[in-house]
Amino acid sequence: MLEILAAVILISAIIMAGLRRISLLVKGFSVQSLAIALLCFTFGYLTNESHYYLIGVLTLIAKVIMIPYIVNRSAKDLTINREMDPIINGCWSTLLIGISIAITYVILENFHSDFIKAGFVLMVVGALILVARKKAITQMIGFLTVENGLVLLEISMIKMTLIIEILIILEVLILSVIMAIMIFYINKTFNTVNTDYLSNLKE
Amino acid sequence: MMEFILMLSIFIITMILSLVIKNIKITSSINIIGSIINFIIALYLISLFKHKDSISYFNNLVYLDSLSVIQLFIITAVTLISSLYSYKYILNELNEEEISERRARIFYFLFNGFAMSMVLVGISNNVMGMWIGLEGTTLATTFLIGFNKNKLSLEAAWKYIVICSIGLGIGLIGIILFIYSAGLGTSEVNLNWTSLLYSYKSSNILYTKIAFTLIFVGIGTKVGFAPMHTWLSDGHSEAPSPVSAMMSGILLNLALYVIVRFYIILKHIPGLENLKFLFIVFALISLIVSSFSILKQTNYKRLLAFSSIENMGIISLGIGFGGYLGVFGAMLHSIVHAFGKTLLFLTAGNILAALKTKRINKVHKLIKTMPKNAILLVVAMLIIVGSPPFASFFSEFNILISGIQKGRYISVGIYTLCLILVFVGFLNIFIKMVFNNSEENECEKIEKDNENILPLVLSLVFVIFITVTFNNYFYTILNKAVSIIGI
Repeated sequence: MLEILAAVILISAIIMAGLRRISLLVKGFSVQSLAIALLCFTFGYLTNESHYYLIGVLTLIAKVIMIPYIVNRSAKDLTINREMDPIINGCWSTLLIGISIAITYVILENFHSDFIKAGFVLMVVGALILVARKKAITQMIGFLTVENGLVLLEISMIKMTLIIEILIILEVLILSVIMAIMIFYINKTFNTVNTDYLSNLKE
Repeated sequence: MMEFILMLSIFIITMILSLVIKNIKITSSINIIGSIINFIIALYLISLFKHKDSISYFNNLVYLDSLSVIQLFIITAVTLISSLYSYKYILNELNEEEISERRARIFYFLFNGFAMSMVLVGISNNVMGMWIGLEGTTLATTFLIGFNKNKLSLEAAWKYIVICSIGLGIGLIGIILFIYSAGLGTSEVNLNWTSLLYSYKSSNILYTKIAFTLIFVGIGTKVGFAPMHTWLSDGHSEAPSPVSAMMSGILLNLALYVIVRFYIILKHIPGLENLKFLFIVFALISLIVSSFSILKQTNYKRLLAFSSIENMGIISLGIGFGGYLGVFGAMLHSIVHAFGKTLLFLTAGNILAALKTKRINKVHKLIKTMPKNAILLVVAMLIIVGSPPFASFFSEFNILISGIQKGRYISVGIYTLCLILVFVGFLNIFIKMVFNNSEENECEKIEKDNENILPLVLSLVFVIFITVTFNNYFYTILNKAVSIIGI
């Protein structure tokens, strides 16, 4: 079960790196988050701690239902559905991610948990989406992928008090709402969400 | 114990009231009263430290030592100055119909949210609590930077939220790895700073090193160390003036404070003696980048933002050099810089409100048009570049001496060179702004000159107070803070 979930997370990350259509990216993101939520439930079942269940439920509500809804809504409002000319195109992105997964697994040899490695991979993928795409909304999905990686690292590396975990997840939720609002204003002011146009401030 | 509940409840009440009350004058007054009460609470807490070394409340959730009480003092004092300034600033913006009433209310809501999350960072004992507070400041300030909703400010806000949240994400990995490398396995870790300080043992030195580097780089994004500073110059120059003052004066200090907390834990661990170099290297890069950027600035608020980067470089250089004088200088400089930069940003805000331009070459003959602001501007500039009568001179000089004592001659050379460059750049630009005559000789006095002087004078009073007392009255608490950071 755990291996399958790790595989789902990794595969979704690889696929997301190559996608250009925003609705598909969001679907990839929600599948990934669902896998993480299920992972939390499995951990909870295996270790018999209510702690994990709660994180799972929070992830489910925030990242599988609410954030995809917000992103889809704003994508529809802004009438954008795909990334037109990414800085690194889909094919190369997938290749880069493949290489970086190999490198990550070699570097993190000493960590015996698959999920720590998967977490780092997610962060790399998120960072790639963040820098290689031009639309603000795609960058936001990249950022959320980084956050997914953080959650994975969090649950597999250390154990924290519940309140702290809840606060961290809550903050991510607020952050994505704020980003969505920002994207809305950027679109209203610039008539585009292409971040190429955000280049008036220079040295 | 009561004082913390009072402090936080003041923030929350003001946040709620600012959304409910329709009249913006009442909201502003409530905001001012709240910050005065908070400042008095902070003074009371400082007075407790004459006899004690540390206080902890709420089952060790809140922990205060002299290091955090200094932060608390800076936070409440600068918030007080900024809220005094905001009163007229917001009214002025409303009169000129730059913003709507609703936006003015949101301003006060976010302003208090910002101040509250900074207080949470300062008083939290839990290292994750500190991280959450820092992330909270990002949430609150994004809209404050994009407050004017024009192209430039939205761009700055978008850069800010993306860069800072990624930076803090890296910081979070660092913290997670930091706890993980203690080798505690899956048992629930006590994340309190005090317990980490006494019980932290690294089971894998390499992981701990990577962890601290990640923390330094990640949270250093928020401090504005040079390769990660790109959000700072945009954000500080586009935010409304009281918010720029708070961000520059408090937030950067506070992020550095969080890094220093981790540094204190790790400093004594064998095999990690070289962590100081991280401070020195990033400080020198910041100094070089900012001092050369200052020389060719055309926008005076951006100039001040780069000066903040430079000052953060000086502070972390002091910590990196170590030795009593270095750390003492760093602590002193962080306090003086907070008030001096507040003064400078608020004066720049006054000039911006009167002249409606941020370009240096459009500002002429301030000494004739806005004499009071011009004098304060020059004084503030002298504070920031560290000229002799003010405490900033002694702090910078102490850091210089400690660098020479430790034999780091190359670093000292770069440091001195950058200080001179900044001095030259500042003088050059401010002389142009204050004394240069424009081609057309119309030097009428602008009426707005007298409008918002009180908060400026207040921050000048704070600087003078620090300058007079850092050797006697303030000395005990600074000394305790230095002994916490360690030599």
